[in-house]
Amino acid sequence: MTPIHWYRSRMIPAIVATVLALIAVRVHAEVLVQPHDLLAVCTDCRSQPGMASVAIADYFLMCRPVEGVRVYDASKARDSVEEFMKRLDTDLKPLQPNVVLLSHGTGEKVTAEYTRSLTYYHPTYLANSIAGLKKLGVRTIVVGSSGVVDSHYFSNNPSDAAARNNGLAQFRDSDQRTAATTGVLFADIYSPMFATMGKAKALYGVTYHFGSNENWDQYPVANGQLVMAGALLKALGCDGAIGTITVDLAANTAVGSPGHKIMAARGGVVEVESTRYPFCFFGDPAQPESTSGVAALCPFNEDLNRYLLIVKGLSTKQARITWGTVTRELEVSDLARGVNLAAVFAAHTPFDTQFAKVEAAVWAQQQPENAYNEMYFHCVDDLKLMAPTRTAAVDKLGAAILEQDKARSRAAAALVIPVRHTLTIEAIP
Amino acid sequence: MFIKKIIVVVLTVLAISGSAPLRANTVLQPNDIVAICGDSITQQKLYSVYIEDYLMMCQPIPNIQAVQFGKNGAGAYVLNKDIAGLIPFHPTVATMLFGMNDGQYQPLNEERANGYRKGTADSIQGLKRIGVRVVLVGSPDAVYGADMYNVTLASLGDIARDEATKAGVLYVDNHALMDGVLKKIAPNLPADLGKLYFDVHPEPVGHMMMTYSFLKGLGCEGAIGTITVDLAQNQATGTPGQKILAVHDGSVDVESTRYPFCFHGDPAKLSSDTASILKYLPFNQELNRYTLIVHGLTTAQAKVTWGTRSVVLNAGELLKGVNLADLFVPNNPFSAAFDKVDRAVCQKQAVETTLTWEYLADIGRLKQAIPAQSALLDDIATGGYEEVARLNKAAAATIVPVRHTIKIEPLP
Repeated sequence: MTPIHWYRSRMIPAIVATVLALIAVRVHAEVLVQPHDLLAVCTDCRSQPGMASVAIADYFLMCRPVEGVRVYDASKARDSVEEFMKRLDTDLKPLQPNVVLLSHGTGEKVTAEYTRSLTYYHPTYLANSIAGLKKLGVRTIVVGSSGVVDSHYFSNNPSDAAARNNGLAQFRDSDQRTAATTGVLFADIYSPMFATMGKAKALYGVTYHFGSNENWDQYPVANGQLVMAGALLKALGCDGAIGTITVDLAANTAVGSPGHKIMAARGGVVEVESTRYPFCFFGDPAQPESTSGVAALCPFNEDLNRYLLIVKGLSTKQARITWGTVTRELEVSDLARGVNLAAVFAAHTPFDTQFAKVEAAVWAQQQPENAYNEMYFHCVDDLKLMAPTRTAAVDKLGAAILEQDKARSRAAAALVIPVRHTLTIEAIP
Repeated sequence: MFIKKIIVVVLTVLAISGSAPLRANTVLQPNDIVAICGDSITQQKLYSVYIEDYLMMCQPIPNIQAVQFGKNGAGAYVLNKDIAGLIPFHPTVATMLFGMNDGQYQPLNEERANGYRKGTADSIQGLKRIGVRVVLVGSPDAVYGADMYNVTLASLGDIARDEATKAGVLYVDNHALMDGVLKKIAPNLPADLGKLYFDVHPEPVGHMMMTYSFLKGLGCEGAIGTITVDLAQNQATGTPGQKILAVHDGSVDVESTRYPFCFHGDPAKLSSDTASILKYLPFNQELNRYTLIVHGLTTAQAKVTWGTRSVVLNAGELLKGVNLADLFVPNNPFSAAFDKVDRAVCQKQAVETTLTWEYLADIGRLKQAIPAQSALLDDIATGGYEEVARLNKAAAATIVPVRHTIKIEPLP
């Protein structure tokens, strides 16, 4: 069975059932991100271009828009919480973030000092980091647990990988305790990553790369970063309600939730203009460097990406739904209760093109941030000592960096334009 | 009388030539710029400062400069990758000390060995490509008590030697030297202190071994100077850099522009200080000979006072020549002046680290990150060059002639 066949036969019913269950309990939750907030994403792995920080920015620009929000990637490959703690005043302070999202642990020492690291250093440095962030005026802190190591590539030994992942599960529990004692939010990144890794390797084969290896030559790329982003977005209170289009075929009417304006509805054809996008996935599903391969395997769509179509007034058992250029045949009973277009049409949606344009602009903003961090913010005092006759120039450079970052973020936001799309609903006799 | 004078002159000449010519075998030339390249051990700015101290004060070669190029976490390949940071300094000589990170603190496997081999070879070629005339490759350090990892480091040293040989450049077995010294030290030092002094990032005492290795590798011969005194004639002569100002009643006033290398700490006690390595490392014998020869003593012993300290020596030893730099550790009349220069060199190297590794090596990346500010970035770099030039001049200016007196009193 190919991944696509597997997806069609197993996932669509599952998506429908999950959505139904979620609709029953979900209410629109309060998101902890405020207009004009700066979110700093500080993890121990970076990936290009499908970074967790990019997905989070995408989400707050397009899916759950917050006016003027900017997401800054302050992650550092192979980081440890100790090193992060030491960098607060240099790397984070100039940014003045309102929200900081953390994820460290995969890179902690795995030698004889491991137990000591787990029981003392990691929680101590994490608590110190949280205290430091609060001192910097950060309003919202999310302690994300570490991710996972790859069950195949870590030391090329599944037993070592399993042992290491067991250790990371302990780090997760430790992080949860630290978050509780310091009064900040917690995101369990480990559990969905571990579960998704198992499903992905079952589907694509054990050599499908998902987690870090022992030398950090490999680390989570777009696939794992999406799962990380999902856990952090949930911790920020995102409830995943992107929008609902309710169509009454008998009455020839349609209504859309905020952000989805019905332009016309007649004869089963509904034209919609949306300012709120579903999250769109990219790439070849079989490649780790894409998000599309894990979208159906992790809880992202169910938890964070519900773009529902509810159809009333159908008298047949099945109906054909065309959205953009793709058509799916769905059970009418499912349509009456609501199906998640973002999941059912995950491979191609009418939002894909514009979503990709915004995402590329976000990437253009975030891609150089690592250079800003390492080569400017981290060493600005050294630069002034290095060139004492150029301190004004050094300050000017800092201001220019921040201004460029803001300008690029604004440029990405400006690309979030209303998307017009059409849903065609045809009863199948 | 005349014959006696002739004999003294001849003996003096012989003594001087016996202590080896100043620069006979060194590969260094006037106006050379020595790039001291390595990883975080180099970035500690200890051995790199000691080498520059030595080249500036002890074996002065006209207008010689050094530049520090040590980067945290760097493997051998990084030097070639980031060599752009060195280009503006136009180095003519370079030392390389990598391997600690290449071995990844594990038993050596083929992948890591090949990575170090390629990194070393590429970096040697990179240095040649930017016009470096002399490359001196050092094998990686030895680490106290790290039996497994020292095997890895020794093997990496073999690779370094092979690549240096293949490329026709100089090689110095820093690892073997350190390993040998640490084995001698181990029985005399509690393990925790050994770990403290001679860890991956050693204390100053450990850096003296690298200093020794590289200076020897550069062909430094250690003849700092010789003062020859004829008590009977009330005369004294000094080798170049040691000007005799006055001789009276066994006291010789000297003005020196060439300093002996000066140490800190008690040489009889193992500590983190530089002096405590002297019992185990022939630094003073091979690199730091500041010789006093005394003729005309009529007693079996004499008290020699240099600065504020005195030692009693046999007439026979004094006739053959004694090494003041070794006898008067840690304090001698040069110590204060030496430390002043050392601090100036350290300050200069701190700026060089930022300029070379943190700024210039990756400036292209920052230009790409913020293309509109390319000119501003260049201007800041210019400010960095200006500061290094200023600090170079300031360090050189701190080397002032040191006036000191050697007093020789026959003991009845």
